[in-house]
Amino acid sequence: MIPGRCPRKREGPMPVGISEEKLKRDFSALVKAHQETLLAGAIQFTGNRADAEDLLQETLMRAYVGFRRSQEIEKPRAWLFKIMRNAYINRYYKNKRQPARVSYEEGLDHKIDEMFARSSEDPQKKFFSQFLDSEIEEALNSLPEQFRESVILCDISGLTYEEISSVLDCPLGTVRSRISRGREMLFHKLYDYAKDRGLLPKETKGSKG
Amino acid sequence: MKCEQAREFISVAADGELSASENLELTAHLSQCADCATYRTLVGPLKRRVAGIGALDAGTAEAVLARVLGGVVPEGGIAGRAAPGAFRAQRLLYAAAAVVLLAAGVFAVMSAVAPTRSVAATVVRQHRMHAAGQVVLDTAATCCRDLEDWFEAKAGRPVDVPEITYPGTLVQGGKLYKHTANAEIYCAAFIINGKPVTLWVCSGPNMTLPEGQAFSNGKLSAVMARGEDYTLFAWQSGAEIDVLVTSFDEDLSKEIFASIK
Repeated sequence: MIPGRCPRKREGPMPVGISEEKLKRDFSALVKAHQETLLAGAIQFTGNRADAEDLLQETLMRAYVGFRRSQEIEKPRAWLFKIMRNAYINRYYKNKRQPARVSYEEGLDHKIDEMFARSSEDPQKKFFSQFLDSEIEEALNSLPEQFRESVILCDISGLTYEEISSVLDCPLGTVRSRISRGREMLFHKLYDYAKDRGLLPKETKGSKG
Repeated sequence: MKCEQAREFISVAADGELSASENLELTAHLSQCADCATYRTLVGPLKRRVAGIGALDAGTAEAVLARVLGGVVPEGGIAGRAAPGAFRAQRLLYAAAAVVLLAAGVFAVMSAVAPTRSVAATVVRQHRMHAAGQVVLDTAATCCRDLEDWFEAKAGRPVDVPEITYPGTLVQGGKLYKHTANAEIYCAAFIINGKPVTLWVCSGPNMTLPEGQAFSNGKLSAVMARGEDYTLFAWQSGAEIDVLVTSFDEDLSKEIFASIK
């Protein structure tokens, strides 16, 4: 060992017999299938596109360094998202504004009744289409982090429960529970928006409730 | 089945992850519970609405990948590459000036730490340093080895970087991080021109350098690493370390650092 140096973490900086160009091509092929969902997830994680691009860049740089060490990636999408989540936690989350939390102690059923029971045909689709993207994002950002990231990974990035479990390092049951509860919280938040904006259906004669 | 569990099953079913036996249980519950039956009709539309906010401009991620691969292993050597971790800074620079030389880009990236004509900028200019990139060393990277790994990725060739330090002040304060091999990483805090700067120095039982020793003259602090044809010069601003690479000239380095003491 050279005096004054930390021990090597690994043997050899370059995979034997593989050119850098081939590594780049292989890495590019691996990433391309997932880069859009990675960026979509990064936007929701960070809350803006500029930070999301930086987060994606950092993710890909870290991933490439790892890829140079080993090209045997069993679950590339989960692997990439895990790197991204770690990068996000390290760099962004600790500085991220903590939004107001959603209260979800109150029962959901009466809110659902208010939102939909008096509505006309296909009320659900119509109801959700009334919200701006920014309102959906704000509602998402109001969730406690473990619920927020679970919903993002599932609904926006399209990961399977198994992949989310791998990314978050938690059991499948926890993933199921977090996504489910996260969605319930979203309903609460959207109900509040709808109420504030007067989007709830007007009570009519003979209507329920 | 209680409604709470049914709601979870409904959510899982919307994602196509419900097992057949769970589906039977859920169906039985829904036949008796109007509230949960209503809830089931909502989850799918909500899921689709949330997914809808993830729509992207085509090509954005592709461009990021191209930039990363272009920056990770530049063709024709390491000099002349803009910092891949400072796209926003680069964009600002590009918008501000029609032509921005790489060195100017380096100064811009560093300007948050040391304004142009500062001691740091003088060193960079006199030392003919070039930006090679940025590396984040806040948690995932905890060691000079990480810098070395990163540098190898940049250079596309094996790199072993014997560290050297210049006579300077033994830095006190900062924070210790444990290395994976139980050596210690010394992270010391400095102030340069009124801006916080952090210096990372490897230390530990296998090091010949005293723990925390680093070059510092009260104005500038740096850790120098030397290879055959370059000097690695790193300091930290916030969570990012700007890594500068230059042709190595030890005498010149010493002269420069001596001149700013």
